[in-house]
Amino acid sequence: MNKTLQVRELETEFHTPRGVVRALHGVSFEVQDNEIVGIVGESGSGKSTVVRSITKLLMPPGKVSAGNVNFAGRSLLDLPEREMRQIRGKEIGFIAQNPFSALNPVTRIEKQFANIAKAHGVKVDASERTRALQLLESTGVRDPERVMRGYAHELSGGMAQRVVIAMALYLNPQLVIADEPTTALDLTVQRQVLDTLRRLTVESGRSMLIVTHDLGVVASYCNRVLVMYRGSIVEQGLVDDVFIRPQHPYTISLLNSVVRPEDETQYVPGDAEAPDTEEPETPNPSKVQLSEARRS
Amino acid sequence: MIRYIISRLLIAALLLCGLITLSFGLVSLLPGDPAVALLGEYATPADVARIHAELGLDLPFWERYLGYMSRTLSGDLGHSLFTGSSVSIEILTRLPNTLIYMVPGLALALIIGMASGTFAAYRYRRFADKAFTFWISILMAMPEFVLALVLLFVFYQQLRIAPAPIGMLSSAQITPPRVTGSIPLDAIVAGQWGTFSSILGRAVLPIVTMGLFFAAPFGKTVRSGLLQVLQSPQIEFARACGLRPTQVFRYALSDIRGSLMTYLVLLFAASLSGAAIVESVFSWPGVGGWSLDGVLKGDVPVIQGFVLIMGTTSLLGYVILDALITLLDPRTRSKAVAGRRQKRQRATPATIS
Repeated sequence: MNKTLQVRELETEFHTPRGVVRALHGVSFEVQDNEIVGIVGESGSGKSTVVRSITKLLMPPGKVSAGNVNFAGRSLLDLPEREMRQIRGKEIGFIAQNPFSALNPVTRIEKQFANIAKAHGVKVDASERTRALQLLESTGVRDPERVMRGYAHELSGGMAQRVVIAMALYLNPQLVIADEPTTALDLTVQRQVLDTLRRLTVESGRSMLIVTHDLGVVASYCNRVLVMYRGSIVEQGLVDDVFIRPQHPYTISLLNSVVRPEDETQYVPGDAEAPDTEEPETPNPSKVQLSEARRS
Repeated sequence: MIRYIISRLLIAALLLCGLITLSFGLVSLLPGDPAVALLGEYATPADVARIHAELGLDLPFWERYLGYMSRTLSGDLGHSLFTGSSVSIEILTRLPNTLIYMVPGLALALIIGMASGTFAAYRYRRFADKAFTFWISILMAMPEFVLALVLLFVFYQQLRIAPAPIGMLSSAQITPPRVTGSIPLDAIVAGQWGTFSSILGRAVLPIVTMGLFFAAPFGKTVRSGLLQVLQSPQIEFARACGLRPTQVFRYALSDIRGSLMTYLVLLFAASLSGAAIVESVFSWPGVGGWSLDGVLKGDVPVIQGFVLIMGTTSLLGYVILDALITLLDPRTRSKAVAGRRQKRQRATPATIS
């Protein structure tokens, strides 16, 4: 199997007035062709930072300080912004968390599709429009023609997220990165949207990296899983292996916190911890210690 | 949509009536008796009574109020207590003189503020941003007349490239034949382009004063607005779709244009009152200097006239602003139109669920 995305020893820092916060400690993983990889972890564990570091969407004061991101034979971290922009949207599609805050509220959906095409030098004509319509239809949008002519606020959450998915897939990217794509949606709609996503990615020869805090999503949709804790990947592997035989204490407590109807719920104790401010050497993921408060 | 605009206009009309009431109330709120202001401290009671009768001050309150309201609404703002000239005519001839430097001044502020604010936002925390913030603080700490005097010192006294601050026309220029009463307009009507361009030349320093003075707060608003929106999920998604920087900027701008437009109208209202200071410095024959004179003398009709013209202009600005913002944003536009649509076809299918 070929590797679509290969991330090696990624280190990201945030330069704040109160010192350098190290958000990622040497994160390494890969996404292979036709594979869905899930990133799980609590808030602040660095899931979203990983995604933004790869796509170079990190806003200052965030900064990738070391590491290597290899995508389709190119080293993304070395690419100038101009070339990176060409990759975004065209080769790497991005699905945002909340469709309403992601879509432009004052621009017609139609025009937003056209803008994406224009940005990548694709001629905007009738056939392009038809393609966008078909894509909307395949994401399960009812009455795509009407949606195309309308605005984001006229849509329900599920429909809006389908529009976002259609935009992310519009130029046929090999890799789709989804940052908590269903967190803002109703429980019933979540399934439909995830099914659509799976159908349009791996079943069409694409790969997907999906950030979530929902272990159920990982269990039913992902091939492999990365468990993140305090800026490190503490465990990774095939979903079945990790879920049945978790190795790291954090993964174990995370799995124990899943609500099972038959027994009493367990929680991961304590608040989400802030990334370390100073920590000179990169810790070995398997040695990242569960903090005192959490060992319960 | 038309219904929406009409409703805005009706509200504006109501506010205008309130404004007239307020300006009427000014007479009783202001310390001192206009008759005393006219005649001096040592006027005899008989003289005071005569002036009161002349000005209608001896009439009962309601009669005075209704009389003032109807006169004002028909466009008669009374006569100056001191010069006897009609306030309406004074305003009509002086307002173009004020607008001739104020509108370009605000346009300049818009351009400078927009450009520098955008630049600073895109260079957040870097050198350009810090330099911008530094200059903004200096400009914002400087009163208008100091800025005007600094500009005069540099460009008139030192560099000698700006004309002397002695008004709109030099004595060498031929005054255009009186048609509208306003000199710049008359110059255009008479085709005296030399005179007109000389007026414009003299307007340059007032324009720059206005431009710099209002560019500072406007630029600051642009910077903070853009900084916020550039961090938003909407812009992140736009960038994640690979949009060009210009497209991303346009998206960001569409997000903050409402607040920028509101701020610009606020600045316009503020600039009308600031006109008094600038016009005094440049001896400019506009409404500002004239009203300042009226205020200092206690010339009640002049003060009332100025309050009314300022208030009406601001009101008009807000009505236009309201309509524009509502119509530019599809979220509010559909609501503004919805009332009519619902009546026409009751069985409208609901929005796509």
